[in-house]
Amino acid sequence: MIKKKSGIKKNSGIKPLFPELTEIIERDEETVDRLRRRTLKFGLGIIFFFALIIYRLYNLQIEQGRKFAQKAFSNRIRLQKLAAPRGRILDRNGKEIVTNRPSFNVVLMREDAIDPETLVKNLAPVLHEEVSAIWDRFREAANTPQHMPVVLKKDIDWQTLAYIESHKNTDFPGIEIQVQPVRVYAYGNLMSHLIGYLGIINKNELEQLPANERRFASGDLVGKRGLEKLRENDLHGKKGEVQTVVDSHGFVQERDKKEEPFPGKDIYLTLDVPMQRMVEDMMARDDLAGSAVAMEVNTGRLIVSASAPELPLDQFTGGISKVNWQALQDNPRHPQMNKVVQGVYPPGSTYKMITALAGLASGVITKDTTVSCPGYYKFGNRTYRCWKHSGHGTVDLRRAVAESCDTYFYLVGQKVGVDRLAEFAHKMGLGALSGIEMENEKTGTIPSKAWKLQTKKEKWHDGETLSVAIGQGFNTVTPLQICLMTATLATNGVRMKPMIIDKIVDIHSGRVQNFPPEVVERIPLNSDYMEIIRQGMMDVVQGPRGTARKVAIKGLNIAGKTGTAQVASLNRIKGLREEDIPYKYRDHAWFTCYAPAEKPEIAVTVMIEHGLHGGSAAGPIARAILQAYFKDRLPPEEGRILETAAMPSELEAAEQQL
Amino acid sequence: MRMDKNLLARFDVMLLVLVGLICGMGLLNLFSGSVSLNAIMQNQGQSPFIKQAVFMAAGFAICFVSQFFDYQLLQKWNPLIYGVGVLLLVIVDIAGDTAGGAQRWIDLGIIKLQPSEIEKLILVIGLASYYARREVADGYGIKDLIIPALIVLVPAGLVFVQPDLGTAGILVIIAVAMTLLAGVRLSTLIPVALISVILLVVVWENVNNMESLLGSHLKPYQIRRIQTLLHPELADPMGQGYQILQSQIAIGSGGLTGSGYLEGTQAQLRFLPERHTDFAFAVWGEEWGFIGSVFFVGAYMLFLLWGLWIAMRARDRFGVLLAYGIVLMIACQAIINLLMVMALFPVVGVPLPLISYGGSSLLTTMFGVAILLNVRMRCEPLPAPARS
Repeated sequence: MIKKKSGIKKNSGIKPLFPELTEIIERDEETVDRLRRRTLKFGLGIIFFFALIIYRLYNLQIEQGRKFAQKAFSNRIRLQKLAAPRGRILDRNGKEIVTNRPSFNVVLMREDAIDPETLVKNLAPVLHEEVSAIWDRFREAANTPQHMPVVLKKDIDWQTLAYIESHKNTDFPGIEIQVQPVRVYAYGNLMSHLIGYLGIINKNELEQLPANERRFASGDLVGKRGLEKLRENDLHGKKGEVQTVVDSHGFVQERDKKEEPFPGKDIYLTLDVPMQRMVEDMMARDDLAGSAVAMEVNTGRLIVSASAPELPLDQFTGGISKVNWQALQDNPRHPQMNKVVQGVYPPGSTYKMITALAGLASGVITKDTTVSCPGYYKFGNRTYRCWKHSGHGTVDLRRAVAESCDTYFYLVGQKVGVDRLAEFAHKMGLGALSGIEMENEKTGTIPSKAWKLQTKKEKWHDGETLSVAIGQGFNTVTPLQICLMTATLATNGVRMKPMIIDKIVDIHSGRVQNFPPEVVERIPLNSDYMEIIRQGMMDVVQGPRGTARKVAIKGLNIAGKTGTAQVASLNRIKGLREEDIPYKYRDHAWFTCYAPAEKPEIAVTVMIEHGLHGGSAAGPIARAILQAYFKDRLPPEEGRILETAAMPSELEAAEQQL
Repeated sequence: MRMDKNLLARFDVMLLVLVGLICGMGLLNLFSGSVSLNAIMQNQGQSPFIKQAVFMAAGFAICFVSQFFDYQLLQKWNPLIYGVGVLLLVIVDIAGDTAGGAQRWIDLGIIKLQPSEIEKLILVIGLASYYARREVADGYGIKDLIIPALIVLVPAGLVFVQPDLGTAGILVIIAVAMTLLAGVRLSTLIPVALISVILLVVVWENVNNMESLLGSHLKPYQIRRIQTLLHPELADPMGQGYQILQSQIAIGSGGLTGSGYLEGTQAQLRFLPERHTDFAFAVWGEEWGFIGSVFFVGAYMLFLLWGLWIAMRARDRFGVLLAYGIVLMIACQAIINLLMVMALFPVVGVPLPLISYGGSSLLTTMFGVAILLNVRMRCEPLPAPARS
């Protein structure tokens, strides 16, 4: 193990001061020896640095000791963040939808709490809390840095606030009142899907932020859904900072505001609160599930975007419980879903305009082509039924649209082919994302031969084309897409990008970010074709045998189309009367329209889930929207809709003025 | 292996006494630094004081048990030790626990292992083994330095990307100082030093360009990690100015005699951040004053010099290099930490060995002490066993 070392000489003459050192140095192993001498130099280096350290200690503790002792006694500087008010959300006319109010939180600065046990004991009765509950807050905050305040109670009332403010510097060292803006929803759950809600930032979201975006700290609120999430960067504002000086007992000596918080930017929506309210109230009153969209055809701006049932925002503030979440998930009416863009349904007969357009444009039919409808259409060895079992007799295109004759469109579809249909559907905005600022928009499905081969690994059957031609089969679309299609029919092929944000205003700098209308595509369409489809759609509402005669409004020409989307195969509901069909097997009801037919301004699409008939279920809501929109231009008896719809806050305001 | 009586006679009691004294002061200080709301609230089992005491006891046990083995074994096993060190660093980079934007720990259940701490000692062993095997008469040339450069750059790189600039720096300092001890030809030393300085300056000047260049290729969390490395102040909401000011106030307010044990307002009122880890000495300075601080610093210096004394008396080249490297490892951390706490060095996350709270650092240091004891014990050849 141990090698014998050679050549150890001992200087036996004079007794050296360090016999061992002499001995080491005299060992004649040259390289090891050199190492040892260098080691000695390193020792000198250590001594040098420690001398420096001792000198610095002398400098700090003896020379400057008095000064630092003074500082330690009196000057304790704290930086505290001041929350910035979040930007407001307003409607197109500047009506406040979401605003802020100040709330007062009782917080503890742990660094200043000398005797936390006594403090908590004294504080608990003032806050009407259990002592143990307050200790729980402590424990939850154990992992946060010491200088971060611990929130003991949120949103205290005025009496408590007054009591703590007047006693905190005598009885509660380390206790502070923190002002935090909280969200106020002026209209409750109005537009709840679209606006979303806030929640406490989670670890993931915090980690995802780049380092220079450190404006967030744990415990901060951020948008979790809807515009609150999508427009977080505009809404959140910039935190301020306040410097507080406390003495060694933790009492606040003075405050120095260093930076004021910047409020977040205000977002003005294109939506109209009174109309939106009216629609949401109507749907809630009749307990309907579905959605309604109204869009300015020339700009793409949405005026109404309603999804029913509403999202219960109050369940989400402060974090939703598992039970509530599960209940929302299991609800057959899907309150979690923003059905305007997330609901996908077969378009039903609203799709017939696409079939008509494709037929005209590919020369399969002209506006005068007639078809004889015996109530069914035979293709191959199968019989395809028209909804009117007794048949429509001989119909031309205009009548086929007006009375929604399935037989006519079976024939057109079969001649045009599925790929041509898909091409026109895509042109009109179906089966694609519209790019609107809403979360999780769905594309839906517009089938084609290639699509089926790719997704189902099966060949296309020609019979399937017939189903597609009348808006059934594999076809699925969102209500927004149908509204977009209707608007594009209204503008003779100018497809706009749908928008919900009008402008974003930075109150601080006065800067306004505008969102000008965007044309997505100009589709070259023969105006003769458009005219014949328009006439057919006008007959739907105004014609003697139209499917939506109930929608008609005196003094306004409306071009519309009803639709019924089958949910279950006919066998399931065979022989049942309509009211006996189980809810989940009932047909979806569509109604889509634009007006005025001669110079279109607005397109309205209403989709009622399991509503059975477009005209009767969806029609009245569309009618109400049109009445409200054109109220100043309609005869008095038609234009009173908004006044009859319940609008408490406006009524109150009016009463107060009286 | 049998423990010889002659070996036992050379057990370095003085070193052990010095280490015990420093550890004792560290524990005392930790108790003061962690008597706070947190300590009351947490269960006793999780109190840092008790944890540290347990680790200390384990450290001393290592000191005794390891004496049965010859330190030469370290040279023999070096490739394995080095491999394990690198492996642990790779694991921590891939799957480690994150804290403050950096991945540093492997959670083993009982303890959170911090491989970068252990790597300091592993590097010392690695370089000592290399230089001990390779003797040259007139100092090492550039070719001889390629392997040592790799030995340090692999772990230092892995630590750097965690990112932990402080520890990576310590690793490089250890390597450079050990290489200088081993001897470098002047014709090699000067150009290498020049190039290093120029390279450092170039990198430093272009930090911002690098950031934007990297920014376009990396994921957000990766950018964030790099940014915490380049701008540590962003990871610390209060800013380093606050830390360093509070630390200075704490030490300075200690005056000549200190505010008394458990009486330091800076520490007890929790103005002092990181007061049981990197800024532990500030608590000591406040509570024990100039007299106590000089005693502490003096004891620490004596400990280091004693370690060097052992290095000089080692029986072979490996022993000298090993002991020297261990002293170097402890000394450069201690000096940087003390200068940092007293505002003479920028804030980098370097602990004060034996004093700062942290199991990995403590155990690594105690392992080092155990090796020092071992080198001392086997500093001279044994006389041939007496035969009857």
